[in-house]
Amino acid sequence: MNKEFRVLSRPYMVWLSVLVFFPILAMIFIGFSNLDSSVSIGEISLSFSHLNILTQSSTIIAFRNSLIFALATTFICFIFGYFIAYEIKLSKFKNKFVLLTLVILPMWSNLILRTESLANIMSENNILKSLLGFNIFGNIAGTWMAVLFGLVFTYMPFMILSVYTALEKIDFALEEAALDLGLTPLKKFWKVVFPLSLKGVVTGSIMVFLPTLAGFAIPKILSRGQIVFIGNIIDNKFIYTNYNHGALLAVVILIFILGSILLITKFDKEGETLL
Amino acid sequence: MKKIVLVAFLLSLSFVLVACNSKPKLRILNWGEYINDEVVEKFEKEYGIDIVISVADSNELFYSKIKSKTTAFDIVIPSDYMIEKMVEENMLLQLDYSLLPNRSLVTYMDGVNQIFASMTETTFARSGLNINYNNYAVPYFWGTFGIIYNNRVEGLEEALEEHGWAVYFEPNNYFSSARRGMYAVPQFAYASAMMYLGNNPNEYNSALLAQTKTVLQNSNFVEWGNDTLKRNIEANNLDMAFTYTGDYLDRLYIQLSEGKTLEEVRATFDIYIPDTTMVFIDSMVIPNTAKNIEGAHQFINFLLDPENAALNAEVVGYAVAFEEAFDIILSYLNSEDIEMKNWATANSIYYNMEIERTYYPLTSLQPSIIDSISTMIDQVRTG
Repeated sequence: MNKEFRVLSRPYMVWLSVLVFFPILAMIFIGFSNLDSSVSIGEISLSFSHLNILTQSSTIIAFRNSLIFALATTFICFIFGYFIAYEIKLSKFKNKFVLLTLVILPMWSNLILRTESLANIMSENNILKSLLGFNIFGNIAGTWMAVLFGLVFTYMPFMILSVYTALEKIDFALEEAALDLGLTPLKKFWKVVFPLSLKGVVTGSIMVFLPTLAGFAIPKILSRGQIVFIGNIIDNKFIYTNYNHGALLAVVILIFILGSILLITKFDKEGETLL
Repeated sequence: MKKIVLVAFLLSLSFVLVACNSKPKLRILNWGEYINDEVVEKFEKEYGIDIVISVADSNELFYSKIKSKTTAFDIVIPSDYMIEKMVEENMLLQLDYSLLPNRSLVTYMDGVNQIFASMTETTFARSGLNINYNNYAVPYFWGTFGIIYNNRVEGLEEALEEHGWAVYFEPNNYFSSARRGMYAVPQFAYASAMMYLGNNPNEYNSALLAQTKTVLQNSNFVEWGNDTLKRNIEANNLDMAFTYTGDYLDRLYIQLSEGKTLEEVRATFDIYIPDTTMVFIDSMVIPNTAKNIEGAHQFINFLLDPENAALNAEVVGYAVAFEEAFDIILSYLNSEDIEMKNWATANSIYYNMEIERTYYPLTSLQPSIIDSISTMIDQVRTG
């Protein structure tokens, strides 16, 4: 690459190290030391006493909640998202860009605003009920269904876009050949199309799984504070200035994220589907 | 091109000149929407001092902003427990009452004196220091906590008046199908259960923690929220919630400004303030990093004038701390101006200081205790 161009990448590199790399190191350090606002520089020492937070029942339950909801959300997004993506690919509609735009349309409004509105129309008395006279969602605000619906609704576009990208890259000649050699359309799908789109599924799954696992706003709003995710515990630890525990739990999440990135690189060596 | 540069230069110069005027400055660190601009203007005019207000939204931020010393604030307005912490860590200057002659114009309300006494008590219990908080702080606003309830539920109002906390905490005995909400601040939830059990909410030991846990678990809360609580009760999606009285007044004033009458609003949702309840007080203190100490005293003295305190209360939904200022507010009860009249009526109902109550401000608990309480609350919430 041109030397002049390489210079242009510097600002972002600096930004990455100042705002991402060093904070992560600081987070790991705070998680494993006695550092807090009352400790002066000379008194800092390593400490593993914060690890007890990992065995507390509330932490374990919150982790379990995050994990179950993340897995369920990913699975539902995969089932529905895949076929939406497949439909878009098969569609005879000339301007597929418009279809894809429709998919990401909900993301044009702010996440918190969208979630608050969802919580509102999931309540017993809401604006739609006054307009229509009945409840579309029933009265599910505060239940696991509300949270699951909100998560699927929010993260579905990530799955659709990743799968669609993978599907589009499949050479049509391969499908023609499969049909020519006597496969039924259904068999063609299972033996040719699906295996070739698996990269997109993995990427999409990770893009759904990670934010669900680490997120806290959607469960907090839609469960009305009743279903606690690990993100909510971390959120509270920082609000009540228990930085050590908060940092330690965040490190645990980080391990999950790194694990997922390893998974991506295993399935997708060129990093194509991430685009 | 040269012209553009020249214009830009002149513009920036004019900013510099504006910023460089010779008036002394008074830097105040305050909560958002917590001061009447008219008060600021009046003070600036009278004393020739420029007020610069910065805003933070938690006591912990106040603490770290003073501790970090990046800006030298002359006045900060933290709450009770944070003032205890700041005094214990020697972060505040003692007030010079010879510079506060207006102190003789006002009588602190009984509840305010109770809070200051309680702060002295909890500080003594914690650190053995005997501190008179009047030496450091002058009250700004204070407020109670109460149970907002949905008045569309038949009989709830009467039950609360008669049985108090029990109605909220005993779904087995009262209104088993009522939807109860709790404030998602662990110490608030713990304190409310403690008061229901008849204890001082600032006490702590593991037996009490277990008792409050049972109480909170049995209450079947359907929501752990903050500002959402008042909105859900207003929308008939929740029936009872423990929260700031100011939260209720906030919604009340909004509904009144939309043209409803006080009776109409109270018939849909209202607040019950228990005889023993939590309170908070925000007070003006001078950090020892302050630069304009004289100006800070002038400002505090200015707000000790009941007229100015009442003027300030016009835009803030909390209670004034001085009896004389409260009397000024009540004088609007017969006002022609409907807004002023509503404001005075709401004050007379919800901040009626003639009812004798026991007030507990929350103290600054040790971090390890706060953490135990938070964990307990997390356990209640995760079931």
